[in-house]
Amino acid sequence: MNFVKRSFGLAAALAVVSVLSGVGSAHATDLTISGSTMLFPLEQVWANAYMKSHPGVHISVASTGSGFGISNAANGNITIGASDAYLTKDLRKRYESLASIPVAFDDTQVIYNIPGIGKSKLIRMDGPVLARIFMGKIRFWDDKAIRAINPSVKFPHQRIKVIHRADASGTTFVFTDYLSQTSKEWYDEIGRDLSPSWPVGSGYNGSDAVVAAVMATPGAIGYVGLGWINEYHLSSMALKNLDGYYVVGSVKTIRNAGKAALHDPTFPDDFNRSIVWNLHGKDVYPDANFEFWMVSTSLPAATMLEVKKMIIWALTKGQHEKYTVKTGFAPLPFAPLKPRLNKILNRLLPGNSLKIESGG
Amino acid sequence: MGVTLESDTESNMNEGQTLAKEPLSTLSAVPSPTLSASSPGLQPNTPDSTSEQGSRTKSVLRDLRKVSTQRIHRSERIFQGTLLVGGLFVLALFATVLGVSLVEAWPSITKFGWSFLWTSTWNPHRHIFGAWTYIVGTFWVTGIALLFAIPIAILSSLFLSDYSPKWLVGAVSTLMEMLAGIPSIVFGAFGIIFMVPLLRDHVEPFLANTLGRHWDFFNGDAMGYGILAAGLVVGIMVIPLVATVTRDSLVMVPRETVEASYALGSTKAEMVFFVKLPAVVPGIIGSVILGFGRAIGETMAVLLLIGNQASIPTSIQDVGYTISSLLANTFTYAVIDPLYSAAEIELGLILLVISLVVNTLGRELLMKLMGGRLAGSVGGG
Repeated sequence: MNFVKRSFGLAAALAVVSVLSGVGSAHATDLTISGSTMLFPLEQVWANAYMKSHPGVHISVASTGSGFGISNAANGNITIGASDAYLTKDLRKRYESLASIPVAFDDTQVIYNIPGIGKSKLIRMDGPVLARIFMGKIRFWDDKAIRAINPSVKFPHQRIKVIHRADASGTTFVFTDYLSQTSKEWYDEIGRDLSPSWPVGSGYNGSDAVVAAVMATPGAIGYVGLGWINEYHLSSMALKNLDGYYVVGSVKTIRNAGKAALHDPTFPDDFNRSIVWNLHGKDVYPDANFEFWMVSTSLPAATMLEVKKMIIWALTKGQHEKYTVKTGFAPLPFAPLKPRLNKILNRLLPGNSLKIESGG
Repeated sequence: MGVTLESDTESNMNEGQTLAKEPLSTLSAVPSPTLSASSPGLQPNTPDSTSEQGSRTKSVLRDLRKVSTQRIHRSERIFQGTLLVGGLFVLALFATVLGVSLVEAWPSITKFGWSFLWTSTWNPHRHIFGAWTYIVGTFWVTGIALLFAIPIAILSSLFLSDYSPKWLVGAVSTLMEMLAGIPSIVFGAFGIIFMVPLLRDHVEPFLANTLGRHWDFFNGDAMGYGILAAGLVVGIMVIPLVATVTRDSLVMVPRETVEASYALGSTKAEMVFFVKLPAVVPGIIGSVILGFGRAIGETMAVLLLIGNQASIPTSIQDVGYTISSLLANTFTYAVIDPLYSAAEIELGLILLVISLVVNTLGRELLMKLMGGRLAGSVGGG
């Protein structure tokens, strides 16, 4: 009798424990990803797919802006901060604990609305001329600087209306990065920023509004990322790259830029350098960009393990075109990424590199 | 006497119901004589007519007074306490908002001092921040909005109060109230799909071809987006505010005044223009202050329409930037840099101070004009 009682008690206790642990494991991991509005659509499809294949992991994704992503990942409010921009020297100093992990490619492309010039006509543009347009120094489409690089295009005498982003945006960062690296004037007077002080033009909140304003305004010039070019079937300008080729942005030319960077032995291991402009190659788009996840090294080990799993999943299975290309990004190649990724993961979880747990 | 007694008993009963802990026996023992005493109309003999009955009633009254004042004291204290908490909460809320903003804005306040107000450079990249461009943009939009809204609102309220057929009054004033309740983003969207193309394709070219020939102020690039579009749409949002208050004051103009002016031989138009309109000037001023408060802080509709370019407009067709739309556009990014976010919070403080100053000045003005009669109803804007 006693035995029965005791074993019953034991069973009950076990049941309670198992229920508790069951509840515990159902919510064992709560990951919060927040930041870049640009990366948000990709993170949503990733989160859904990942939660389906990894029961017990709950991921909440929010679109709050890269600035929020960086600062809140650093102070531990969120698990992963998404950012369109890498950590510049200043930010690395301010947020020492952050490691940046590239998770996808995208770019910035220049769109236009020039009366009389059809979609099929390819317009070529180089950095110094583009910078002068966005500084208000070139004011008409038939300016001789524009005609000089487009000898076969007949431009109308139409005022150029500059259209830019009003909100702080990674797209703007990548765009002004190209201008800063190619035009001394731009570098000296305005520089590279998510929200620079624009000398001329008008600003709109979000890429959709930029597309709408460019489409509605004769003479307009603006810039958006790959996703919007595809979604709205826009034609964009061919930008001059380091080797003098004029290249139109596409999944292929953006990946070429990324590959050129990854195969460049001088490219920093922490990925904190721009892949705009400074890359060689014929089909290399000069205004491509890594999208980043920022993770703080001070996360608790258990969370870090889950974060690592998620990162490896995102960089392997997550790079499938059904996720990346469909939401407006170009997939990262895993193999050339591996050596640098190993170092980053080692920094996040010392002694715990890729080999211990392969992507699954 | 009877009236006060009745009200005492009533509140006493109510207390008895709400404060269930109190024994009801005292209540039930007392009321019957007092109730009968309190309704003199029903009984031919009022308590004062017979002295014996009167003295008895008086002693009962005294007891009742004592009980009820005690109870009222307690409940009163609870009630007062609750009110105090509410009042202090509002005070604390205001102090917190102001205090937190001041603390957060402090790096910018100490670094730039007063020059923050008239510096027109805003360059986060170089850590130079100045509010002038945004202050000017804010006043442009607010000014255009009020210039557009006030005449229309006054005309429409005069029409409604004196000229419109009765059936139209109800319909139009209901619509006005609905208009005032529409979220601003709806007006912003309306602005983009209606106002921007209208301005770009018709109004702005027209302005440039007529007034623009003489004054550069009306020339421009005909973008559609800009201070004009933002000002007009905010104006549309201000119209119902001004119109409703103005119409309410028009309705309150004493009938005698109106009749007196008719008696002196004025026509209806003269009466409306020289008698009614001057009588409601304080009301109009009050409503304009309300409208100003709405226009100066309007964010979403302005952000969608103004073109968000940090430059000082020199033409009605130019784009611009307001304080509120700058904060909405960039504040989530500014948090990354302490000085940047401090400068943006200082902008918010400037907005706060401007609306406080305008409200206070408006109140003072009203006090002077009205001798304090209407001022209380206006300060809230």
